[in-house]
Amino acid sequence: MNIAFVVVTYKPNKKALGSLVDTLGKKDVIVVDNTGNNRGYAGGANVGVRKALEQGYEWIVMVNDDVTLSKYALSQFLDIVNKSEPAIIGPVAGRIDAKRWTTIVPATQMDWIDGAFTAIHAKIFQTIGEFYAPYFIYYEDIDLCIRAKRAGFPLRWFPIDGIRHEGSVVLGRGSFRHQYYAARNHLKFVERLAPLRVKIYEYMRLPKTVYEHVIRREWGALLGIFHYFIRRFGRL
Amino acid sequence: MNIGVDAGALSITDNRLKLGVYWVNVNLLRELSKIDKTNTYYLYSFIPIEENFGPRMLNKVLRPASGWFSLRLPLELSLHPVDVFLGLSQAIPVSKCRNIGFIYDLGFLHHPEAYPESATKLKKQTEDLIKRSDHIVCISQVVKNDVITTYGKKNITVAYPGVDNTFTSSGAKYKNKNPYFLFVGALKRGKNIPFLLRSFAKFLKQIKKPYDLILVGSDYWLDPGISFGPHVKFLGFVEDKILASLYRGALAFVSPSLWEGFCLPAAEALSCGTAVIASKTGAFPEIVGKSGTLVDPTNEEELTKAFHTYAKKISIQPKKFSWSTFAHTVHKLL
Repeated sequence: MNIAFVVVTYKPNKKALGSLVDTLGKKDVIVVDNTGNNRGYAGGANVGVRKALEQGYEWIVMVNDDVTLSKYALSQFLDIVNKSEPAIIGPVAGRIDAKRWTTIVPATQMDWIDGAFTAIHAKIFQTIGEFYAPYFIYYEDIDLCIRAKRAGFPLRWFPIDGIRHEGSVVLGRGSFRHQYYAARNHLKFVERLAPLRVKIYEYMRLPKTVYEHVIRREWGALLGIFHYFIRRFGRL
Repeated sequence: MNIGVDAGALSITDNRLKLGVYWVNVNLLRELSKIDKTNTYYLYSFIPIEENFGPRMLNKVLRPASGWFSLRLPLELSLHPVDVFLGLSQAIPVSKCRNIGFIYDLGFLHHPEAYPESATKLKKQTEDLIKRSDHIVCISQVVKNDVITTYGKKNITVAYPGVDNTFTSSGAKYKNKNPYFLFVGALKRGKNIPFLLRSFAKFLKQIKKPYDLILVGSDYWLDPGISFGPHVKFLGFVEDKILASLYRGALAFVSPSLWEGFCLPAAEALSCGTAVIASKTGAFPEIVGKSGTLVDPTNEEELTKAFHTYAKKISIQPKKFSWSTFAHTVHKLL
């Protein structure tokens, strides 16, 4: 099988990581440890992707280190990947709000595939480039999906029993840094890829957005918006 | 006579979005162009229509696309009036011509939760259609009854949609390692797929032999409650030729939808001589008749039992659904 797995970790739980690598089958697994030199999820993912591309792998499966999966579910998933034309394939899909381009999960319509566990064909990276590293974390997967779709590659949703992602354990939902990256990157994402009417709407709406964060006491989000405007990206 | 047609549904270019209404549009126009040698048709759309339906069918592209239905189309109809207007997308704009409205489904009234973003719009659109139309075409008896009880409307004709000629009982059968059941349709909420998957898992546990459940269809819409267990295969979108072979090779076609105004895939399966396991709601009873088994779409036991019944292939007499009959019925109303 010509499939590589890229696992990006940051201060990993060694035991859990070991068992994940075991399940994935060891030999085609590229582990990128971000602990010493923190380049962010997107940056770390790119290191792994480059390595996989150099080694000539046809498919690259991005796996978050907090994903749990059964061997059976994995083989079922890889079976689909092996038979597929170049695409982005994953078990969790999300939507983009038409007005604001915020992300919606769970979705009843597919606009993007969640990056926590997703197979991406090498051709896609060769055509549209790698993950956008300045995001650091969050939105890099959605950004890649939108660019792939525009380049004509299909997204495929393949929900499956036995692949689970705890979600945002790294930063914790609602934590200061989670808010920071989510707010900043959302604006960056709109700037990079949204249609003009969404850009105008989001900029005009800014006072309301700021007000919403203030009454919810989301200081991280406010700092994120501030850093967006002074063009500070990457790590907080 | 000049006949205006809302061909907005034909402006779709994404294959995954070509669902029931799209195929009704295409086939009706194809057949009408064969039958009708006197009238001229104007097909209104927001981008040029790819398919050419012959010299009597002229495509009029109306721009801009925003406000198309509420402003642009009424403007066109008042500047260039037609004698008859066909509302093929379950909607009729403001105009002075004789209107024939098409109603495919009132499912949004019964299960609004399955249409989280469109129920209100569909409701308004259908109410306007009822008010503005001089005659209505429904695609099944159950939809007709529904329209009568909900809106008290008369002047309704029932015309069953047809099935493409590709779907016949003779031809290649799909090769699958294990015997399989087949579902075809969008993975939308109203299709009740989580229920189907749970019942199938139960069946597998009981029978202790390998059977597969193959799902075919668009993944543009999705039901976040879906999660595939063992022996479930999702093929995505496939060509008609392969789809026909899938129908022929299947033990039975299964659809436990909460509500369907017609269900084209069930008709396709029946045309291929394959039995249908479906829910006893909506149009299934009249489409399936004695060529399958009807179950309660909330009772897993009943569906599991039906899987056991069809664990060995039971061939049925193929049924016929013809687009030509559909088009003739519509043509008589012009």
